[in-house]
Amino acid sequence: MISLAFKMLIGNKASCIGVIFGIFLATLLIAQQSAIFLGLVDRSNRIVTDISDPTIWVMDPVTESEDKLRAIPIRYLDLVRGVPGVEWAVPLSLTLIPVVTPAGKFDVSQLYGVDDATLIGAPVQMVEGSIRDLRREGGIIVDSYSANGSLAHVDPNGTTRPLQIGDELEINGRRALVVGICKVTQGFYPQPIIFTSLRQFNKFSPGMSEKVSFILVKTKVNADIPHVAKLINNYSELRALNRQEFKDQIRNFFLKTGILINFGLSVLLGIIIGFSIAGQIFYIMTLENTVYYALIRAIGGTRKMILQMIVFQAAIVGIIGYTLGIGVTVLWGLAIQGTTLAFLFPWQLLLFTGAIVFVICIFTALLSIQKVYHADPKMLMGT
Amino acid sequence: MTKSIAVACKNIKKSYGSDENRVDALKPTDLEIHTGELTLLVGPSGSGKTTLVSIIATILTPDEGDLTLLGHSMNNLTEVEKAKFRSQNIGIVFQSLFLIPSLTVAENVALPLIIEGMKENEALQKAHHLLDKIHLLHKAKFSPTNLSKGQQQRVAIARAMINESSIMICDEPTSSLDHVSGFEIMKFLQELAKNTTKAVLVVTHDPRIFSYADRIIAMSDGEITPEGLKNE
Repeated sequence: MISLAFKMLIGNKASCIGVIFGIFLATLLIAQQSAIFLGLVDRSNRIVTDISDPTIWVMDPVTESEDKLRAIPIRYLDLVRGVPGVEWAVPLSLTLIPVVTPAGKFDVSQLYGVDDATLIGAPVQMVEGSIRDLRREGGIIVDSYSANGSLAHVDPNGTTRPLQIGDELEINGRRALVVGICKVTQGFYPQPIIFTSLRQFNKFSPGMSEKVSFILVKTKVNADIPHVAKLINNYSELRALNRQEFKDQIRNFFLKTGILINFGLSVLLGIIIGFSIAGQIFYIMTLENTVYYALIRAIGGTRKMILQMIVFQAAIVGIIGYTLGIGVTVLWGLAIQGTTLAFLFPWQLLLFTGAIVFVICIFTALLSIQKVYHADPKMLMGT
Repeated sequence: MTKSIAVACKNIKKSYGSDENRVDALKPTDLEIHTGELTLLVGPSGSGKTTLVSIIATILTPDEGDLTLLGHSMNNLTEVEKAKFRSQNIGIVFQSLFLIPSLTVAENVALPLIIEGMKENEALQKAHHLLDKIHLLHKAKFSPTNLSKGQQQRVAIARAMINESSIMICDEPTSSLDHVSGFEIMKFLQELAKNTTKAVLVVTHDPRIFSYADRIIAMSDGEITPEGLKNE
């Protein structure tokens, strides 16, 4: 019976393709939009992901993320260093600052000032150069996306080449020397990310000289991190968060922008498309076959048999549509790898999309079953 | 060849609707149909032919009376039990044939066996054998939509025959055929009744085919007319 159900399904090519297309479209929308959303959420955490040494991040209580921060007086650095359980504490400054290329191209970059002595907070993955060169006068390290993009060098004859060591930029009116190119996780905004030493950071951004954005803390081995964070809070009235807490805080700030609603609507659209297109076409296809289901009952088939046939048909179109949708989503993800576009596809997303498609298929099958279940052989007599 | 009673209806009655909308589609009816005979059930539209034949096919349950098929009482069977009995003992050729267009001719013929649980290959082999007998083996892999009306009718009859059922019911088998094809089909059914000891019951209002009948049962206003019974 299963093979007959399959033949009856593919016998109506237009409807069969229509249902598969509906489920494919639903899967694609749900999986792809969710993957982009997760990619963006992941990027919002980039500061914590890329700077992995600290176990505690100390900040002003109003600071929510690198996009909404208030600097703290540098005097708190020594106070934090004196808290029991703290192995080391270093400053990290961060600001948005104008940057101009020799060809006159303007952009606003995220400028990081890392501790001069330890260089903690400097990029880990270097494409060219060394982080030690940040100590050179005017030394900066530029992220590779900007080096190849908005900050690329333009020769007087108009030809463009990636920024390289030895090139110069103008940051907030001061000369900066490129001493390295690094790879960092892209942020939510497509801005150049530039690293320098704290000493030079204060030159590029003079208003920040007595302040820092964060104090990065490494706790001693076996120290109770939440307890140390609590002590820092008590001693300084600053906010001290462990890595996960800071990530959660950034994510919550990010979600307040309404982005979840926007992507949620896209996913909802996918679900509606799945229900409407796939459900309706499958229902019509089943209606067209009602007399044949009645025939099957007339020649000895049972309702259970018909139920199995419809469930099998719904499962087949569901599996094909889902596989195609996931396949195209993954291909999309591979195609944009290495670009500035956000995409994150964890295995949980596979299950999430699969669960929604499963519900669509169940709905689709039930819609048809409730109609065909009562297909009576009587309707065949005298017609 | 010994003839036995294949269908026995005793006081069978069927009504539709209730109270003042009540229509007695079939008044209390007694009837016997024998194996090895081609029986015609004739009468004008609305005379109760379809109701009677639906009850005999166990598709419709009578309000009252006893129905015995091949010695088995149908009165207390569940829907599933009736379906099983049908699949093993009754072949039905519907007026509109209802050949499934997405299946091949052979698959359509094999359908009752597949429903009964036979392996598809085995069922198809039997279908090919039967199609060979009715000279349609060369069309086995075609879609039924590519066949002429007469060929489609023969395929539908083959589907009704494949489970070697003892009772065959044909609803207006010649209604959409020209007279040559119609006569061919009736000759085929006549031979089927004689050679296989099947009880073949044909519902018709086509007087051209009356000559093929071993017996004619005429119906009018929901009951078998005495004239009809006299035709035995």
